[in-house]
Amino acid sequence: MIVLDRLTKRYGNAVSVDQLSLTVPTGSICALVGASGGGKTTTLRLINRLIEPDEGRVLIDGTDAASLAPVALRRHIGYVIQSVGLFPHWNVARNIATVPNLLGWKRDRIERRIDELLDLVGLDPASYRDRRPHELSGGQQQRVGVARALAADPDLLLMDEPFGALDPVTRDGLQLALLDIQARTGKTIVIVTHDIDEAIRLASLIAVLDGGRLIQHGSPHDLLARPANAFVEAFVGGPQRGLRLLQVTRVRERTDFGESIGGTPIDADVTLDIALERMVTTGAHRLPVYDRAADRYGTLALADIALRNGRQA
Amino acid sequence: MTSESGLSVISAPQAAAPQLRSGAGRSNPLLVLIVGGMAAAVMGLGFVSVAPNRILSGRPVVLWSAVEPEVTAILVALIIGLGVSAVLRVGAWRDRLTAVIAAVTLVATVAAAGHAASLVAQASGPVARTSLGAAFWIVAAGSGFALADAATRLTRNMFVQMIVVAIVGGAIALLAASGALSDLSLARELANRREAYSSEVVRHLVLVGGALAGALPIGSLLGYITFRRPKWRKALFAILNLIQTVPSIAIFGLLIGPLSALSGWFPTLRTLGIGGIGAAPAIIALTLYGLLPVARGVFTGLASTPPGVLDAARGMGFDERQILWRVSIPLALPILVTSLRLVVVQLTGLAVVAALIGAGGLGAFIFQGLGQTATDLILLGALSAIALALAADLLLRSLAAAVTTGASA
Repeated sequence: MIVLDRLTKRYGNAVSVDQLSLTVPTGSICALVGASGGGKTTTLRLINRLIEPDEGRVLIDGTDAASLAPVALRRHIGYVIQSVGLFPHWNVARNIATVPNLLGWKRDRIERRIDELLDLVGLDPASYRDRRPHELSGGQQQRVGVARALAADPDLLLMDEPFGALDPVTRDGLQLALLDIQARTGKTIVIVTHDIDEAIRLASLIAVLDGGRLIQHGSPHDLLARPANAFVEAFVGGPQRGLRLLQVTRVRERTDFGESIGGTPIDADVTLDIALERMVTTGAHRLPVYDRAADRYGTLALADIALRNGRQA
Repeated sequence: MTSESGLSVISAPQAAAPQLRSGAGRSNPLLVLIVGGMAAAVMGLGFVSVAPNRILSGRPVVLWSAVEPEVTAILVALIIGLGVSAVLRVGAWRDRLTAVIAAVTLVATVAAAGHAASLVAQASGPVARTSLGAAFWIVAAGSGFALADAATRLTRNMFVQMIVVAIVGGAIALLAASGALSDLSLARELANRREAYSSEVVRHLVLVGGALAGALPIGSLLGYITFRRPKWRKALFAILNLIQTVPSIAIFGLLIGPLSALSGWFPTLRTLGIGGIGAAPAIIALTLYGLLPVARGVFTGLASTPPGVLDAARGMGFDERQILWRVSIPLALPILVTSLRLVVVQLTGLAVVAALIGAGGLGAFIFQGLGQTATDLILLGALSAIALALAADLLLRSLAAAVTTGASA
C-alpha cells in the first residue's frame, strides 16, 4: 500500500504539489490524471524520490521512503517513462537485465528472467534478445521498457505517460498487455496519463489533480457518475461523460432479475455500452440477460440504462 | 571548436560531395573545372624549377622541356582521361574509373618530377638542384582531390578509404625507395639530414605526446567540471577560450620568463632539462592549447546523453558514477574520439612553432630553411608535419568509425 501524506513540493514561489494525500491499495492501478502542469509527474517522481518533497511523507507498505537510500529505493520500484529511455548502446537482454545486474543477481538467474519477461510482454525471446533498441518499433521499445521495469520483480510500478507517444492501435495493444500483466502479477501500479480513456480503461482508482491539488479521487464510475466540480466534469468528458459511464457500468447493475424474456441473452458482466450497441443495431428496447455467477436470467430495459435521478447508479 | 579548417584535407571532398551530387546532372562540373586548371597549369607554368646550386633561386621549366616527349604524352593523356571521366554519366563505374585514373596520375606526376630531376643531374652535375614547380603542385593536388572525391562517393567505409591512401602512399614510397626520386632537391635535403630527420620526427612526436599527456587528463577534468557545475561553465570556457586566442609565439615567449626564473631558483630543474627554452615550455604551451578542445569535447559528449535515457537510468537506481561510466561515457565515445582527433591534429601543427624556442621537432627544418632561404628544406619540414597530421587524422577517423558502429549497430 502506498500512502502519500500531505505532500508538498514548491519551485520558488510556484507550488507544484500542494498538500496532496492519497492512498493506493496494494494490487490496484491508480491513474493520476489532470491537465499538464497539474503536478501529476511531480507526484510520481516524489514516490521514488527523483524529487524530494518540501513537506509530507511517502509511506510504502508502512515504511517512510525518506528513511531509505534513494538509489536502493529506486532499484525496488519499477519505472517506465514516455520516452522509454532504453540504453541505446545495449541490446534488449542487457537493457532488461539493468536492475538485476545492479542488484548483483547470478548470471543464470538473470538469463532466465530475461526470457520470462520477454514472454510476459509478448516478444519472442529468441528473436528479440540480441536486438538493439533502434532496431525495434516504438511499441516494441515500450514493451522492453515495461519488461525492464519489472525485471527485479518490484511490488510497485511507476509509469509516466508510458503509452503517450504511441499510435492508437499500438497503445491499445499495450494497454491490454499491461492489464494482463497486472492481473497475473498483482503489481501495484501508479500511472500518470492525460488521457482519460486510458485512465478509465486501466485504473481502479483515478486521482484528478489540478494546480498541484487533489481535486477528486475514486473509481472511474464514481468520477463519471458524480464529478466533484466543473473541472472534473469537463476533464472526464463533458458531453462524452454519459457514454464513458456506460463503459464502466456492468449490465447486472441495471438488470431486473425478476423478469425474463426470450432470445439470445447477453452476459450480465459485460458493460452497458455493449448492451446499448445491441439495442441500437437490433431495434430491441429490452434484452434478455444471463447471470453466469448465479445461473439466473433477467431483463435489461433501455429506460433503465439512464442514470437514476439523473445522478445515482 | 577553433580550427575546423586546419583539420584535414580528407574532409573537404566529403563536405563537397552531396553538393556535387545534387548539382551534377550528368557530369561532375567541379572535376571538369579542376582538370581544366590542371591542363592550364601544365601548359603555362613550370613543372619543375631548376637552379645551378642550392642557394640560388631556380628558373621554371615546363613539362615538355623537363622530360622526354613520351613522358609528357603519358601525363597529358592521363589528365585528358581524367577530364573524360568527369563528363561521363554519373554512376559507380564512372567514380571507379575516376579514382583509378586519379591515383595513377598522382603517382605518375611524382615519378615524372623525379625523372626530370635525374635528367637535370645527368646534364648539369650533382650541384644543380631541381625543385617541384607550380604545375607539379597543381596537378598533384588536383588528382589527389579527384581521388578523394571519387573515393568518398564510392564508399563511406573508413577502412576502404584507408586502403586507397595506403596504396597510393605505398606506390610513392616504393618510387622513393627505388631511388627514382633521389635527385629531387627535397630528397637531397632529406639525404643530407637523415639522422637529424628521424630524431626530429621523434622529437615532434614527444612534444605532441607530452602535451597530450597533460591536456587529456586536465582537459577531461575541466570538461567534467563544466558539465557538473553549470555555474562554473561560463567562466571556465571563457578562460580556455582566452588561452586559445593568445598567439602561440606569444605564449612561448610568455613562458620563457617564469620558467627560466624557476630554473634559476631551483637548479635541479635545470638538470632535468626544464628551463625558459627547450621542450618544457613548448609542452606546457601545447598543453594549454589542448585544454579547450578536450574540455569542450568532454562537455559536449557528456551533455549529449538523451534526457530520457538519463531519467530512466536515475529512476532505475543508477548512482551518479554508474550513470557516468555505464551510460554517458559509452554514449559519448564517438564525440570523445572526434575531439581527440581534433586535438592531435591541431597540436601536431602547432608543435612546428615550438622549434622557435629551441624545442626541436619538424619546425627546426622549417626555421633552418627560412634562415638559409632553402625552400626545399622548409618544404621538407612542412610536408613531414602535414603527413604526420594526416596520418593521425586518418587513424583516429578509423577509430571513430569503429566506435560509432560499435555504439549504434
